[in-house]
Amino acid sequence: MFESILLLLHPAIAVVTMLLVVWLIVSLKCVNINERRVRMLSLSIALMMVSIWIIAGYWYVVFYGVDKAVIVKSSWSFSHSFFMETKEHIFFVVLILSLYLPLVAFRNSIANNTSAQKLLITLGVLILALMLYIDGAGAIISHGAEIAYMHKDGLQ
Amino acid sequence: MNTQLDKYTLGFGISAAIVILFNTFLMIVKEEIPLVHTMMVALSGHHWTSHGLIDVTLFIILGFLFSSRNIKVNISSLIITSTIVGVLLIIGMVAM
Repeated sequence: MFESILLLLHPAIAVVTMLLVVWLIVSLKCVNINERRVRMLSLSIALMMVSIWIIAGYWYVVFYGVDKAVIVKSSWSFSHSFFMETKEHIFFVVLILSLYLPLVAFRNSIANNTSAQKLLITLGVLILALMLYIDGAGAIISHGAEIAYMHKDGLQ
Repeated sequence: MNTQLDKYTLGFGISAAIVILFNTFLMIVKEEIPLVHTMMVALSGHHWTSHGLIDVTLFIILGFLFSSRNIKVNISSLIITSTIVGVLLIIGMVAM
């Protein structure tokens, strides 16, 4: 049960985080930028990304080994060998970009600084694009495990 | 309208660009050199945990280091370039 909660919780937090990133980008495109909102959104995104790191990391380190052993022997072995391998390393790129977000938001006067606005939008777009890839990769890995267990082709 | 970025924004921006590329470099090194992989496992119990901790620690250290220097760069372009290169190298290395 605990394993399933962790497994479902991390993409759920990721989806909410993606919505916050969209909100951040839209907030920066407004004529009158609400600086406090931009700062709170940036901080929330960073904190949620750290929580994903801890939750998904714990699940990956403690529980994934069992599924991996089955997936790599199945016809969907690429779901681990390609998608998990890329996902687990691209995640760190997103983590670094997310940790950088609040620093930009809190150290600059966002409403009056076009460079800071442009930088935050750039970070937001990069984070969003990479998170969409990670989310898709997660779905493929999940389906890979499903096929491996259902067809038992990874258990032989 | 101001276009000047704070010194910590510049310093940590350069640090982020470097760490994103270092992240790919560390992935390649740990896959190619078993000793590095073993050392990373020994550090925290799992290579992935160590990988993340090394990346974040390096981001903080380099961030403060570059913040103390007067460097003028286009941070947005630097981060876009390093992210694209870093991610494509990860995909390329895994696909090979």
